[in-house]
Amino acid sequence: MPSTLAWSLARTSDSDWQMTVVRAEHAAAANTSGGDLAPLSDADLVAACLQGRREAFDLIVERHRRNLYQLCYRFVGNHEDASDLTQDAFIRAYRGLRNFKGDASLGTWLYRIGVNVCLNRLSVKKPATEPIDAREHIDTRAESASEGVLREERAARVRAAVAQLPRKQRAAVVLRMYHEMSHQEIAGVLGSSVGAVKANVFHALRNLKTLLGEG
Amino acid sequence: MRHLSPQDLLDVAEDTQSEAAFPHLVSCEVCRRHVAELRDVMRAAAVEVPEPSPLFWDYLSARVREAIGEPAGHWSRWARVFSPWRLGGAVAAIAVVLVVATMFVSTPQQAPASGTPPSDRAGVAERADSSAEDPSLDFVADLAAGLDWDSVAEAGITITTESAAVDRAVMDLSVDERAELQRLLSEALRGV
Repeated sequence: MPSTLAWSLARTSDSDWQMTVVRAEHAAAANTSGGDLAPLSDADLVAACLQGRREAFDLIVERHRRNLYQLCYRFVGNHEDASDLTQDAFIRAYRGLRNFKGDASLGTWLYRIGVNVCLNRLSVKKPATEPIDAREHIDTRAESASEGVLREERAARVRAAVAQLPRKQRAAVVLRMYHEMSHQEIAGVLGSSVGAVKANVFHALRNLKTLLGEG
Repeated sequence: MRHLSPQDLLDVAEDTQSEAAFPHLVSCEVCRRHVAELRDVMRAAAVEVPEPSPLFWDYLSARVREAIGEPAGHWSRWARVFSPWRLGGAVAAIAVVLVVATMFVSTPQQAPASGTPPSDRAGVAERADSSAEDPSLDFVADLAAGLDWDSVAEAGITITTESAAVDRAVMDLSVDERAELQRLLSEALRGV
């Protein structure tokens, strides 16, 4: 598990320590990911991986892990489940790499897998969203303490409201609002039509309005 | 006059189509209100995902790397058996059984065997007295009440209290050793 002590130190004003961590992280990534692979496109990395260069997939993970994690987090609202789902999604992607045809971007393809993994999880159990005081590592140095509390309260309410949406509405609004995918792309990910995506987004927003008590 | 459809309202709210494309909006307060409400919700819901620890990303990559190195199904099966909380529960269960056995072995009513040498009888009495006064054993007994024994069994950990070696080990625990065991139990349970 990551050291919570190290993370806590990263939140202090010790910028030298943070810079050291960033440099070490990039050095480790370069060592493990194959320096010659770094300039390759996603499609070329997939090809390299299929040719047996497993470190090419390390680089794919490194490039897309943040987006995929954030997608999963939007679905389930807590770090533990999001972490597990992100790992599951990458494992499924690795095992299904031969199915990547290149007609959509690798990111979209990964989103498709991530959404399916999240929807499958939602059909099994209802994840618990994180409470207000869950750890957050957002740069809050510029805001006051009360602003920070209000921000966290609002974020928790939004997470809880999104978690109550029906699965298809949740998927559509997460991909549209938080990942800025086009309706066409979302339709491709969800395997539905543009009209259905728009309808789901519309109804999701109306439901969120009710759940958040807006207006 | 026909109101805007949900799709049209969404297009306007998201600025994927301009309001000028829908002249109806000029004269319809209802549709303008719907558009405004959609925009308000989108603004209200625009919250960030909490950033995890900076070390999380490499940890995630390492987990994925390790998982794809295993045959399909192997990782999930072993992860279920040896997940941290199951191991912690098993460790705690073993330790609790050892200490709970002490409670039964070292009760004040238990008299030393007649064949026991006087020096050993004094030792047994001392341990019995100390165990009766030791609050750490109450703490451990409380911990035992909440353990999931099914998880311990699923993890393949079996405990036989008939083991003479376990009884001897328990009887040999001093007050300091029991305090150390309590500390280890607390750490293991915190890590679960």
